[in-house]
Amino acid sequence: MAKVIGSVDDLGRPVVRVEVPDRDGFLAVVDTGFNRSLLLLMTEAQAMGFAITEDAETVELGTAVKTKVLRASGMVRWLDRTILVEALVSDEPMPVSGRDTARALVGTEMLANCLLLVDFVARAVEIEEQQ
Amino acid sequence: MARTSKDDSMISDDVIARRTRMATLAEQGEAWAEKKRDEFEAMPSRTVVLIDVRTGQYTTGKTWLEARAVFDTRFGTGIAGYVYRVRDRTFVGGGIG
Repeated sequence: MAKVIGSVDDLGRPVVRVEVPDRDGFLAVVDTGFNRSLLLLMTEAQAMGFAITEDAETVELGTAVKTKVLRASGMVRWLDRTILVEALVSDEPMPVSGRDTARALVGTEMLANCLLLVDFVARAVEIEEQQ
Repeated sequence: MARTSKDDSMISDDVIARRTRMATLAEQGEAWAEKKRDEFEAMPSRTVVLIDVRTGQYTTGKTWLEARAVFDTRFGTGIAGYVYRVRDRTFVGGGIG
């Protein structure tokens, strides 16, 4: 079965690396409260070669606040396949943090047909495709 | 020229212009969605509707990419649309209500 292996980072977040063909890829938090595929910051989406449109959508944050995001699409490697994925793009400024930290979200659409295991004791994350 | 926001992050004029366009687009899109509520609510749940906010015309799909492909063919490329979801909402970081 195809798998994506990640870890729980120092901030307590389940994180996986999303591979992008011909790019470095990026780290993303697995957010089970996010019911779409990917959310990226604008700068990250540009760096990953995503096609960013000016289509807008309203999303609801965990605080119940509503905000607007743009829509984009791009290729990623996920569960041993290269797929075209839809992404939400936030126009917020890049947070001041280290380069190798998660600046994206993976949502539940990316987990369809998968088993998600987060072991906070061993700080391990596993996403395994199910039949 | 760049401006400084509350958290001292630099925000360029391009970003401000893009945010203004996005806010205007969303406002117009939501107004169309309200106007066409009965029409949209007759569609299957989770249908993605992409609205041309200039005219109120729209395309639909199971995904945004599907709706966008039809939109490009029908209305031309490079026209921004507003995404409306039938009996569906997009949550980031969990949703309340």
